[in-house]
Amino acid sequence: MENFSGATPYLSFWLDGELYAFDIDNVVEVTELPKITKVPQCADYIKGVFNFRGEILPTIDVRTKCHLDELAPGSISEDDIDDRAVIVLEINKDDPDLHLIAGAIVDKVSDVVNIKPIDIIRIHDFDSKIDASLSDGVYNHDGKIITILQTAKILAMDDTIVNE
Amino acid sequence: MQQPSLQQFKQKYIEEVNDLLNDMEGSILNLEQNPSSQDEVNQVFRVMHTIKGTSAMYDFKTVETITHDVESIYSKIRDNQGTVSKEVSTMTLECVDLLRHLLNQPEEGDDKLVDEFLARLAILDGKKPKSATADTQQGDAEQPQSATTYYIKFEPEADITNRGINIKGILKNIEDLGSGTILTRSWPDDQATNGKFYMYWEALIATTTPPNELSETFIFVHDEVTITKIADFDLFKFDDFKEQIAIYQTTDTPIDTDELMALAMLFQSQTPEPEPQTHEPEPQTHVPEPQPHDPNSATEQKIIAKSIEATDTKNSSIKVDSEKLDELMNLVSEFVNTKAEMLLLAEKYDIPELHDICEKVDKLSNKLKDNALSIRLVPIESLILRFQRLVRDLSKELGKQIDFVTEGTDTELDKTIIDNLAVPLMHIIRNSIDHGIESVERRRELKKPDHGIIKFTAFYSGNNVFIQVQDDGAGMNPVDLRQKAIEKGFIKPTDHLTNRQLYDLVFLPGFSTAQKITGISGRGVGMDAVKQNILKLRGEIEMDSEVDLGTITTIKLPLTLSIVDALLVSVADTLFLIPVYIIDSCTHIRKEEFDSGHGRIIHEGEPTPVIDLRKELNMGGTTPDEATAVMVKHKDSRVGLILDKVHGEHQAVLKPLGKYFNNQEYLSGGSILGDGSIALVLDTNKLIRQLTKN
Repeated sequence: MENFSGATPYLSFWLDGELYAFDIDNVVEVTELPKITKVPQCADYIKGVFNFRGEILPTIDVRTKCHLDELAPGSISEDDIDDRAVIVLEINKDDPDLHLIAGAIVDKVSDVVNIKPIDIIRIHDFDSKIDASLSDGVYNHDGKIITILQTAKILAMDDTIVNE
Repeated sequence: MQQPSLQQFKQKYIEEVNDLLNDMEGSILNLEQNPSSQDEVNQVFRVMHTIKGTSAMYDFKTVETITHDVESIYSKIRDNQGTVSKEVSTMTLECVDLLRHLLNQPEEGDDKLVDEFLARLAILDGKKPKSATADTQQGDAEQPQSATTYYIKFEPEADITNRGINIKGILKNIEDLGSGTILTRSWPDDQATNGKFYMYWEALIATTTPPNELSETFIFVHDEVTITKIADFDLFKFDDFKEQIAIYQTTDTPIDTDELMALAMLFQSQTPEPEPQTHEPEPQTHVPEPQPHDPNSATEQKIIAKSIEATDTKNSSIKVDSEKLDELMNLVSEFVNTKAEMLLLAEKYDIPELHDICEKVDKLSNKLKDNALSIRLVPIESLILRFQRLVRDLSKELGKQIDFVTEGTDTELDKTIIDNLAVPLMHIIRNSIDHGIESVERRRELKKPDHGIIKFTAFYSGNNVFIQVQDDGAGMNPVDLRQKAIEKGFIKPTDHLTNRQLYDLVFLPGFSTAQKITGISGRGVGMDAVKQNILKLRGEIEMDSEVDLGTITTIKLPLTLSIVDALLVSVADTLFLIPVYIIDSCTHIRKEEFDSGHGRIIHEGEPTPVIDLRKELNMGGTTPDEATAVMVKHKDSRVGLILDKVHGEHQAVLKPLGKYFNNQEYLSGGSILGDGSIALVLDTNKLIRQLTKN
């Protein structure tokens, strides 16, 4: 999706005190944090499954996926916990082999930002809290840095099974 | 924006043609059994004609040419200018394959295939003894039809008079058909009549009545009348024939149709030739379809109109897009969920009036669910056809003689299951053909009949459908299996395995017992893949065998994939569903009991293995002192699953968990509960296998 100015809309959100964003083309819906059923013997970034309009979808903890610290209990206030949301992401809808859909848990949803491709700056690992390969680059939004995440990388299934 | 594109129409066309080809394949196989079946000839003709028409529309020129040529062969057969010989049926089957290939996976270089096929087809067509006159007779439809000679045998059942059927009337009907002779016979005294009337009748009749009307004449005694076509012309014109009849009449010997047909062949060369006609195509104005090169169109139209009438009456089903069925199933699932939600509320607020309504809704939703499920059920027959073809082709290729026998083909299964069964069953049957049934020489050595038998059986049992493939072939030798398993390192020479366990080895990846690898089977990937496929359908597979007596493969499948009656239980925060049919019993259990028992408890006087789910699935926390053990059936024994609490029964609408949980094989899916939360459906067999490596 490109609007008249050649900019693409992104959905930005907070994660561990910083702003990140997904391409809005991949966003199906944003919902408040639903009741999540834990599934035993999953990868660590999968927090369980939830009921999304009658379909069962996995939830991916974006913090875990980006190797950020887990949200420690008590580290944020009650209000902030209520802010937590699930962004339902979907890619490759037309290809059953590559199709992926899951809910991504984020700390708080922020805003829709229009970003021109030319304004996205490539980053290196040392610039950022997260692995640079997960990101398309950063954007300077009125002095606030937004890291643009690659939806496919966040949704990707890593083969590591954590069995703590 | 959603204008259907030409591509979509084409897709639809290809789907349709595939369906038609499937039908036609069945007809050809039937024709091989019964070459004189006019209905089946018409069916093949109609299919070819339909495909020809639509192919022209979508610009599939080669398909059009092929169907045209095959159609013209069948058109002659239909006009009694030839029979469905083995060559014809083989070519027609090849035609089916070729068309499927051209439509579904066209490749470069297909032209050569097509040319080669057409060339052979032309030879076949030209070889036909009457082909020269065949063409001249094409245009004859408007003229009075020439007579056909039939042999009609009428063997009434003993109770025929009780059924109010007038034998004289039937005989009169035969007489009225045309010119001929009726011979009255009585069964020889030494021969038991087997519930038959003490007399029977044989008739030879030359008639112009078309075959379908002919059988209508005998509508009330359909099973008691056999009609055999002797010749495509009036045999009574030949004095030799009349003499032969006289012999039958005076000597009281039953009529030998084969002999008469042979006689007819002799006469055929002497048939008075019909007036020669020109081969000019009819004027184009008579041809409703754009096929100027086709001289047969006018006749075709007639026949087609007739056949369509015939099929219209017998076919009362409609074709529905399977996506629509899926959608219906989803809606019903949602409805069942919503119903559960409502029942929950009714219980909470305890309104008597609401209870009544809830009860009604509950009943209705159960009916609705059963009904929706039944729509998705397809008889297993739809699969059989391919297997018949497989057995026919492969046994021919391998020079073996195999009869494929089926039983219970009306057994119904969910369409999804049927679709996913084709490949594994194909493989099992291939194995039977290739490795099971021995060569004729070997069978003679063993004093077995030349014809091997592969028997396909399907039947219901409880909540399951069983499918068995049984052959009377060489069987598997447990000693050989054992040897092989040791060689391949699957077991140690010191291991003791029962025969059943040895047969199970066949399903291991990389285990193949075939002496040599053939193109057909025996690459050692087969049975492993078969098992995986069956497991995916929540089914089980098992083999049993006896040396020189044969092998039997049994597949157990759930009736449907989408709704299961289950017990709702919880471990830690997670809700699980255990299918009711697998549960033996439930029992309260104290922590000390299973802590001290080293994985076993005494249940109903027997030591029973138990599994602490909380611990084994790493779910954190500790198992409460007062826990529940749900005893589930596993193989031939019971295993107890220790969990926190049982909440009650639930009708679980099974939903897939998705790709992220492919590694959790012990979960067959999830189900949404009345309050919107999710419970995970356990496949206890897999769970136990995974946790105990057994």
